[in-house]
Amino acid sequence: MNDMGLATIQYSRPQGAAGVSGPGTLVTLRFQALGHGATSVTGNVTVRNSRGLAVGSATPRLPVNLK
Amino acid sequence: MALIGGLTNLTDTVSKSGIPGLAGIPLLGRLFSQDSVERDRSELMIAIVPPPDPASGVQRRESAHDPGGNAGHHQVELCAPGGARRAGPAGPAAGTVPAAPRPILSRARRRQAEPRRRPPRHPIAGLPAPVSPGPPAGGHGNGAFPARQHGCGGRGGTFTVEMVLDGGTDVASASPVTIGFRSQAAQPLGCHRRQPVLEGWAATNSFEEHHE
Repeated sequence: MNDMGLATIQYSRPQGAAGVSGPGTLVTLRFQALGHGATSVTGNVTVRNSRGLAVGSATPRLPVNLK
Repeated sequence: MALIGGLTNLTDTVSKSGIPGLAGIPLLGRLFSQDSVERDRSELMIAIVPPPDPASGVQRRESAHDPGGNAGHHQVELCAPGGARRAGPAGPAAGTVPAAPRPILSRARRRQAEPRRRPPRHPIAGLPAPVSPGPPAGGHGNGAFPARQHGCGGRGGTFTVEMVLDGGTDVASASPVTIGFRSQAAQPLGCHRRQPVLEGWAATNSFEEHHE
């Protein structure tokens, strides 16, 4: 059995507002370990500019080892 | 000219200046005009990283660039419910776990101007840099930094991860941001935003579980 959890967050600037530039944290997630084993936290995001054009996307992944 | 390919944005700006009239004279006109090309290359980087432990008093440093967006060989280790707290040189300090280096996100923004060349900008400027207590196991030379861990023992430990973004310009939306995890191994306790750079963003959060 493979239980997958999924957190979905939608971010957008207010309508008509200019986009932002520079580094920043999109989201901070806090987890509590429930069991042993290796798992990973994976992400998927598409970033768009103020014109609605996709300027990048990524699927980062962070392995987590629960001992 | 703007070329957008993947996460890289390359912009060349060609400008010509000179004395009107004289600059238009064939051959001699070059004495009265100047051409310049400015190249702006930016890379949008997105990563999932454990945040630095402010109690450690150690600042994070820039890590190697991983354009693949993967954590690579780095990982977070923490106690599961009933797990024992590790100790010793190879173990984590109390309340913290040696963890993963900044796996993914890094920003390299280089600005070149001709004839004047500017030095490359330090990647991930403005982001906390990873701590580097030593070479990470199996790493690519990225620094490792501690991730917070609490409740190691009877209850499962908690850990925090951040999805960070750097190198973006005119970023207006990031949606959907989806973060997946094995719900049998860990459960989310909450999520929130931290950096003021994204102040003013409207966000909706939801958590789902899929059983296969």
